[in-house]
Amino acid sequence: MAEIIDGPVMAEAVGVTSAGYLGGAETLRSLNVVVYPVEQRAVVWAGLRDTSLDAQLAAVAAFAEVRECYLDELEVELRFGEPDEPTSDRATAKAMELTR
Amino acid sequence: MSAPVAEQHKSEQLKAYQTAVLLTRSGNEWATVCYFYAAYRAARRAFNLDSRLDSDAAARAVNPRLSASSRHVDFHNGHPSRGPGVNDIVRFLYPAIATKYELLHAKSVEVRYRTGLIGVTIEETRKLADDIIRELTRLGPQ
Repeated sequence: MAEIIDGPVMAEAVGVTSAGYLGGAETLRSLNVVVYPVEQRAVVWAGLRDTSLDAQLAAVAAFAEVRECYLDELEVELRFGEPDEPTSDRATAKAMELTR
Repeated sequence: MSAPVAEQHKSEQLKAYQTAVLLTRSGNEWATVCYFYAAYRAARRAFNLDSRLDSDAAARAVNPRLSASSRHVDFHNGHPSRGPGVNDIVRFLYPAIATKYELLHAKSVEVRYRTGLIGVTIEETRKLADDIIRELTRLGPQ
């Protein structure tokens, strides 16, 4: 059985990785990471400054690298905008802090 | 390879696309969900007909995470416990359209589970689907 991951630690790691590949504060207005440790799953919420089709395609292309980084640990999914569900029972990183 | 299965995917692809066109005419964003499912069926059809998935050896020659059973995968995202999903297999086999495919999947999620499309129009999602389907059709046997 897989070891249950440390949610807050993983959220921070995924946040830093995502911020790096997605272009940091230059391209991101916000970045939130929600990790679901038992499900081995993370959702990265990217609030892009430019939400045009081309900018979203660029973000998806860059995010493929993030997915590769966590291949053996997590299912990692990119969504645009802000988290829209309560996250109190999950490990969440508010990642603008991570783009410093 | 199974021609009946490929034909079934083609039939479902056409049904999803026709529904998408009707929804587009009325400005309904659920058209995007149908455009995505048309693209999904086109991808599953391409997997079914792609000789690189005829054996584990041929599949692994493309990417070590692929196998002959990748042809039958029906979940979208890869997971550590179950291996690559359709999105990943599209990326391994058809890199030219992988980014468009993944974005179209993300857009369908926005419509299904959230408040609607962010930053793109229904017509732009139609263009994504058209590009994906055209390329998958061009690559595979007819």
